[in-house]
Amino acid sequence: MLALLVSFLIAVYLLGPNLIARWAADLVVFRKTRIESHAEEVARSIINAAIPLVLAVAWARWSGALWSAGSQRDVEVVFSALQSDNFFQTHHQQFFTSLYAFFWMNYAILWRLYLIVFLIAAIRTAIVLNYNRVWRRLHKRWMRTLLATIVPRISEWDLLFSDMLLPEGSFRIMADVLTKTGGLYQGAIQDRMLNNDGSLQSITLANPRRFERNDFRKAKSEDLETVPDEFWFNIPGNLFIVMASDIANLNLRYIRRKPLSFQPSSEEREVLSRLLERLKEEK
Amino acid sequence: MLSSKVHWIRCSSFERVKVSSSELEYVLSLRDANVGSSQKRLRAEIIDFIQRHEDAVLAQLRAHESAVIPTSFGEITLNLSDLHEAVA
Repeated sequence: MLALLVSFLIAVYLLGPNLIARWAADLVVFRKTRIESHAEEVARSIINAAIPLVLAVAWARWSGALWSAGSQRDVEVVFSALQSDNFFQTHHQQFFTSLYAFFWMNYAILWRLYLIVFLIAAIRTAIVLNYNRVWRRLHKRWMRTLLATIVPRISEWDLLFSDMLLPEGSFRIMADVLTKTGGLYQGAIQDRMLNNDGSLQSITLANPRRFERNDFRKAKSEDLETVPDEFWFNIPGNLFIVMASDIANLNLRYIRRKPLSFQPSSEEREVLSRLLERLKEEK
Repeated sequence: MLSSKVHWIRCSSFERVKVSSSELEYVLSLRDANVGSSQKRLRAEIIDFIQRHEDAVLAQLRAHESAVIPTSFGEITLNLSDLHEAVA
């Protein structure tokens, strides 16, 4: 019985808060799943739960809720009775009175613990979702590194392919993909698939096109003025999947969906104004 | 052919590498620089194309209220509303 109670207490005090923290992290980033031993998992849970637990106990003690529900004597009676049958037989009535107090003492700590864990998870999620906005307000490198510690164990591929941490505004991620067989493809990243350990499984390109490298080389050898633009060919379809195992190199470029709308220079404005003027005149 | 100011990722092996907080900060700084350089290059290419092929762009805008601009990033579609927004 004692082992059962201890297991239950470990679950609600250590594993529960850790589970909530993981669940909240999974809402905003693709976390790496690491294979850990049971000891590593418990050690990680203890470390993660230590601060909220200390805060919850301090709060319960400070408010008086902990000691109004029961006393240290109740805790001793419960554990002693569960460990020794003899003690249980001789303190039968006291055990049940102490068990009741023990329950309310735990309740006084636990609801505070879970409230703190939920609050920390909510604050962490809000910071991750607004990461770039917060990041830009911090100017010292050590402050930015400190901020990065709150991001869950994010997969590096999720970081590169997600627009979650990009500057404000709408972005498109363009990729040039060189395959191991020498094919060169280009397109906008539509989707990415990651394995449980966070490694890349495949990427999906929208509006894909292929570069005819051999034709380009041949034309270039005949005419040095040849430009590569004419050797890109559109691939029909909108879901071009490249398996990670086929990729040799990947070139990522982040561009705004409305490239001209963001702080245009006076020269750019001039060119565009002229174009719009002509359009208006010829209507 | 491809921008030299961009970051090529060597993917000879796609195994996982732990992203520490300092690495995360470094990747974000790189990506921030990538956004800046890509944006500059893309805009230069669009403006250059418009200047060199103004009549063709006008014809497209007149017919479809949008124009497709070929760039080294791929084909970029400019809507008339985007152009008005840019000069506003």
